[in-house]
Amino acid sequence: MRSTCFSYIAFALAFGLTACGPQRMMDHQAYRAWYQNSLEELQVHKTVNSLDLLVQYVPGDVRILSLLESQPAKKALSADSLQSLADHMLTFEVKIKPSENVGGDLMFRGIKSHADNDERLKDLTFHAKEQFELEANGQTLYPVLSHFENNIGLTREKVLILVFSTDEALSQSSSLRLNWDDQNFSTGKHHFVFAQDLIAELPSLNYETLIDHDDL
Amino acid sequence: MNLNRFQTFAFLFVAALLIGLNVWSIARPADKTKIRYVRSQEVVYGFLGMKEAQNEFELKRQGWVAQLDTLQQDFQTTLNQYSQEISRLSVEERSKREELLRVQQNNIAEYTQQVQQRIQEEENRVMTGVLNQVNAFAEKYALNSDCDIVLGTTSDGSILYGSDGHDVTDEFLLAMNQWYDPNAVAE
Repeated sequence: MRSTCFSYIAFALAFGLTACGPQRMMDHQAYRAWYQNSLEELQVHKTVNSLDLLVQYVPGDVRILSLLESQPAKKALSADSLQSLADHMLTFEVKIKPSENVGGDLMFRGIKSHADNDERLKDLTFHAKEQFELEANGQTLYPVLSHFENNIGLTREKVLILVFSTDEALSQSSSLRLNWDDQNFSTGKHHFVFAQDLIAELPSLNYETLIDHDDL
Repeated sequence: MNLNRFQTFAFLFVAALLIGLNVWSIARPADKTKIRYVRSQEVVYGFLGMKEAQNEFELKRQGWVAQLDTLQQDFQTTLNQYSQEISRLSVEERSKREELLRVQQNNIAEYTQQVQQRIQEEENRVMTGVLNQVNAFAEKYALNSDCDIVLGTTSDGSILYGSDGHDVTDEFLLAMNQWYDPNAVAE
């Protein structure tokens, strides 16, 4: 009887420890593969006013991998420095696209004059970050950077890249809530929520295995 | 009564036709159009997006009006000061001060117009966004719940009667608020 009791306790402890265990660590190849397969899980989308709005969360580790691709000299940085960069950066891509059955460039929607068009372009290029805020780690953060990709004639979607900076690494118990008060396309205010369990399950890139690789 | 062959045939034909019509009317597939309705006013004013938009709009409006009040108070102070000092001022000085007051008054009138226009534009922008969201969700709701038609009651009386079973206002509103902000509904 006592041994059965011990087995139950041991099992419960083992289960508890596994559940509360550290994040999965991956080398860069495994991490890249995981990210490619998980793109949809890291998205939230809505359709309003015949526009498909999609928000993609891009984990800091993905941004660092891209950084190392474009600037190999950064590989000289220590693993700790790279890890710290990744931990303090929260990036989102906001993709805006007319719904399937709607034609035309969305930049011209509701536009009546060249002045209106200039105003919209200027607004999205230089002031888009004023329309966003992020709730994470119990704090409200504002973008430190926004970049607008107009993609004229290339694709139907427009992309806004937003980067937030945080003093402390994203807590596993935090959800992410990106608030967007759309001032340009009459779609209103939005709250894109990335659930806490999704954030808790994000794997982590093992920077120790990354530094010496030439195949980035 | 003796029926000739033609009459018998006609009688049987009519009888068969009547029986056929009866059977068809009983067995024909029922009209599967699924219609639901919502109480529009409750949907719009119970929508979290609307409440949030109204609160934020009101804060902005108060900020703009406060700036206007400050300008008006400044003008009033200058005017009172002028009234008190008028007897001591030379004609030339009076004319100068009056000109300044006129400029100040014109500026206030111009600014008031700008503020009113800005308030109007902001209200339109906010309301358009909210209504576009309600419309977008109505389409999503209809698709998810296999509804062919979702009607909205209005004060114009577009729906004169609907049974409670067809009223989905509460369910619609809950789902719409969940769609708008999952965190707020969970809290």
